[in-house]
Amino acid sequence: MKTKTLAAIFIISGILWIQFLAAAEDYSEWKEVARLSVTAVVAPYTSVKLSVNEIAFDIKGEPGDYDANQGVSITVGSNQSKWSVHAKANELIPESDKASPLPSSRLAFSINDENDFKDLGESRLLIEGEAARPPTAFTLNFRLTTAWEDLPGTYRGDIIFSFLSSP
Amino acid sequence: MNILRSLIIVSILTLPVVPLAYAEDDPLVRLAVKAKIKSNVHIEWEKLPDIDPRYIAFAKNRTTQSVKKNEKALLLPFALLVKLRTNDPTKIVKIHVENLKSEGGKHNIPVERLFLSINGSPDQPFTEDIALLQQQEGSEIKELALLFCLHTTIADKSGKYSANFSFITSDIP
Repeated sequence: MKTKTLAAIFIISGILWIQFLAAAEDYSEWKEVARLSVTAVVAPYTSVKLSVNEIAFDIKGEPGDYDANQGVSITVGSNQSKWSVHAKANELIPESDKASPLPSSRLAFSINDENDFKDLGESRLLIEGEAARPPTAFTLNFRLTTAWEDLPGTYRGDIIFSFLSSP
Repeated sequence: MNILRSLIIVSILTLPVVPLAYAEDDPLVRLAVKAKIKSNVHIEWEKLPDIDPRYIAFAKNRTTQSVKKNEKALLLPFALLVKLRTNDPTKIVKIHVENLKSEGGKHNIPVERLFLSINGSPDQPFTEDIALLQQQEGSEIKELALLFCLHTTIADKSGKYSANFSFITSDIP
């Protein structure tokens, strides 16, 4: 009796196993039972790096055009489709009350050692780029034009670099 | 309890309104600029010989002055055309002349007997250095015609005399 029962269980389980395998082979019969939604947000990334925080002009001679003590390396990286970097100067304010500010238009720049200097009295396009472009360093040279009306002393100001993107 | 439930429902309904994307602010990078301007004086001169028409014109315009009885006025045969400019309103530029010395250095004529006429103005003796550029005159270029007149006496030995002229600047605090 025991043998018959065991044989019956063995046969039935074998049949069930074969049916299960047959069903598993038929993929078309698989049905979606759950869906997991995945959202990846790639944030706009921009990096504008300057090699120095400050440039200086040491004007010892007669008024004229003077180059800054050093060039500035600017490196821009972005994942935005199109981007551009613009620069504009603020006027240089004297430390002394007696002197007048130096207008921002007296500051000028050139890129990659070119001799074509453009004044920074208004916003100027420096560099344009695309996302596919790897970050590249550019060298900026700055020049200050002085006049006889500029009193001796120390003047301070800044140049603002702004980044514009087209996502 | 109902109020709490309503609040939870409202907050759940509100969540999808919050945008997932965000706008990045345009980054600004500042580069500091420092400019140090030093005091500067521009002095440029040209020596005009007595045959130069400009010398002749300057000599004509010069205001002549009376000389002492025992002296004779001798207009030196050259003029200096000087251009001055400075960016420093505290600067004063003066002309300094040393005593006139004869060749070989045996005889002197004191500089006090040398007179200067600036742009035709009356002669000023070189009892002290004479100012060519005063304070606050600086940024515009100043052109001056300098004529020199020497008052000689019978005691002065004949000969060729020379003197050093120099421009000096000073700061007035």
